[in-house]
Amino acid sequence: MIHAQHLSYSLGGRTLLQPQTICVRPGELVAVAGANGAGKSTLLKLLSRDLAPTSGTIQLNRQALSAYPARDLAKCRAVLTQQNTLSFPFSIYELVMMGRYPHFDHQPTGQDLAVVDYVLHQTDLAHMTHRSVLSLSGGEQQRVFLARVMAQLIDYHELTHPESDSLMPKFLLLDEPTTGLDLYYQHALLQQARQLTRRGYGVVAILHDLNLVMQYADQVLLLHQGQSLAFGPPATALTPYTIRQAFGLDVQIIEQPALDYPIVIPITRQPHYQPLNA
Amino acid sequence: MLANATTERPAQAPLPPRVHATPAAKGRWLLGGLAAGLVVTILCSVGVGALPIPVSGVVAILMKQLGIATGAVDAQQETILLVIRLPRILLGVLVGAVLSMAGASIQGLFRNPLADPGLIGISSGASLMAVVMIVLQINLFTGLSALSGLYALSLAAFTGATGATLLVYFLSRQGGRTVVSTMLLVGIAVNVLCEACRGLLVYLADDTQLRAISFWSLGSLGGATREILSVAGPFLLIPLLLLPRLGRSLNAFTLGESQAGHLGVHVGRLKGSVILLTTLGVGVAVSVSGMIGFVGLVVPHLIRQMAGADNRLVLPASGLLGAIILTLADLLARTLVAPAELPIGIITGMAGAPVFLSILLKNRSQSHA
Repeated sequence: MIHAQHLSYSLGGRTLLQPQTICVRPGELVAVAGANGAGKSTLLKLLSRDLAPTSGTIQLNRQALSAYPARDLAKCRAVLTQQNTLSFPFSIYELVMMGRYPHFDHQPTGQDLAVVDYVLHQTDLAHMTHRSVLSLSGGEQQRVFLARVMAQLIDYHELTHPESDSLMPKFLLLDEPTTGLDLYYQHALLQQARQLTRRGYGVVAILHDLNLVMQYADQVLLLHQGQSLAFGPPATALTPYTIRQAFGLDVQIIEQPALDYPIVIPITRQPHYQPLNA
Repeated sequence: MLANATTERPAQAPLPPRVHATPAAKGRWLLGGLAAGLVVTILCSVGVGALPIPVSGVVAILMKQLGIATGAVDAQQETILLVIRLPRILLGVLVGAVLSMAGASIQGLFRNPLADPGLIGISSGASLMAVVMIVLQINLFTGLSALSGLYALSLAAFTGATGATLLVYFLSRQGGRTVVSTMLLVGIAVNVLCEACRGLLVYLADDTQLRAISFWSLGSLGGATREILSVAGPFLLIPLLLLPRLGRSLNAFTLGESQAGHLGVHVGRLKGSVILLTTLGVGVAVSVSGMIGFVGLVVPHLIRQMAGADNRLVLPASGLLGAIILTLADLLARTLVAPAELPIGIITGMAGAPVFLSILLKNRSQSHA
């Protein structure tokens, strides 16, 4: 489990993240939501060890995050970042294989090849493995990067025994993973993440679409100016009141009898569009 | 994918079908082919010159050196081969391999296929110090020994290369980390300063010195001797042996610095190693052969065209192809206007630019298709 206690971060006298205590348990999908500049990416960078916290501690599987050797850490937590710019013509296969780098030294083993094959099938990429990543659209590239982080975490024995829990809980940190994806793949990605949580993975995802949060997250952390407005199950944490505080936007939350999650609809109070010659 | 996520999986899931056979096979063919090509290139070019030696003669002389007598050996041919041609060709092989492999590594470090070791000051620093030696006629080393006096120019160039690069390296450190984008900007500034100082010295130089400067700036392997080879060879071999080991980390580095860190790569150590090894290699290469342009830029491009971007393959393959290309370029340099010699930089530039342009145009037509 990831346990962050009294975590805060300041840079140049500005506090980007107020002290907060967060817990991500194995099997949970924790969404982080909030306006631009609310501190979501800062939080994710602290959890992924890109930044060192100004105060507070982070423990991963009962061990201090800062004490992990880089390669051990790479085997139990993977990060999908926002900016992924490439300038070299790696093939999809080579790029997904990079996810296995923490697992082998010189040449990939048969297990590494099997994991990469499995992930390529899971992410609908198996038919185009030889294509250069540079020739892909932004959304397709995002799928390849997701495949890479999945390949980084999945163990070979999970393929052969999908029902058995992995020994050490593993964590996936996703920074706006649905950026650039079409409607189908936004949901496919989150279902993929849900499938991983059923296997005992913990997932932290920064999400902008509150309806995706309602539908897929177990917990949501709503941030506003570096402070936590609410932390809990989406149906209780996301209310018209907290959403208004976080985004300055009025919303209506509609319960749908046919669905087991509510729907968030923004209410705009702008004057209606009027034709020019009216 | 949507359907997959919701269906229950059996306890013993069948493994997915293999996507394709091991990708390493293609790489082994390419490396094997290039290595064979290099051997053939060396054996053939060693025989060409004012006194032609047939390949059979070359093989016989080399066998004799290994202690295997295969027949009569012409004594004159043997001397020319062992004292003049072989040291020069081996130096060309090492210099070509180092320039190309260093180019590929620096491109990986800057995450930019157009980067060049010159960006971090190696070439301009070497060039400045060489011009200082030529123009000010500093004979610091003559007092020590005649031998080191002979190599004063090489030593000065190497000092300049490492000095400028270390300056760039330390100026671009922030809070104990080297910031690659800052290094690029600091490199530009240091390059401009070195070029300005060099310009001042060129302005002061007389006609003989100008000729020496321009010949040095265009590069030549004409100064190769057994002594130079034995001094410079080991320093050129170190980066050639160590850089290919960084291929996997450099692959991860192309994703971005933090992304490479997430994959367990020690990013700081990687940056330090690449900078140290390229500076050593290119610094020594420039000091023994002057400025040989374009090899480090074009050769990795050619390899990526043939075999993709995997640095585990690009680094060794660039080394081999660079060795072949520089050996052939030097063959032209010493035979085209014999008994005179052309600077080798003219040949690599004239042949490299069209090749580079054709790659660019081919890529453009592909991206429009």
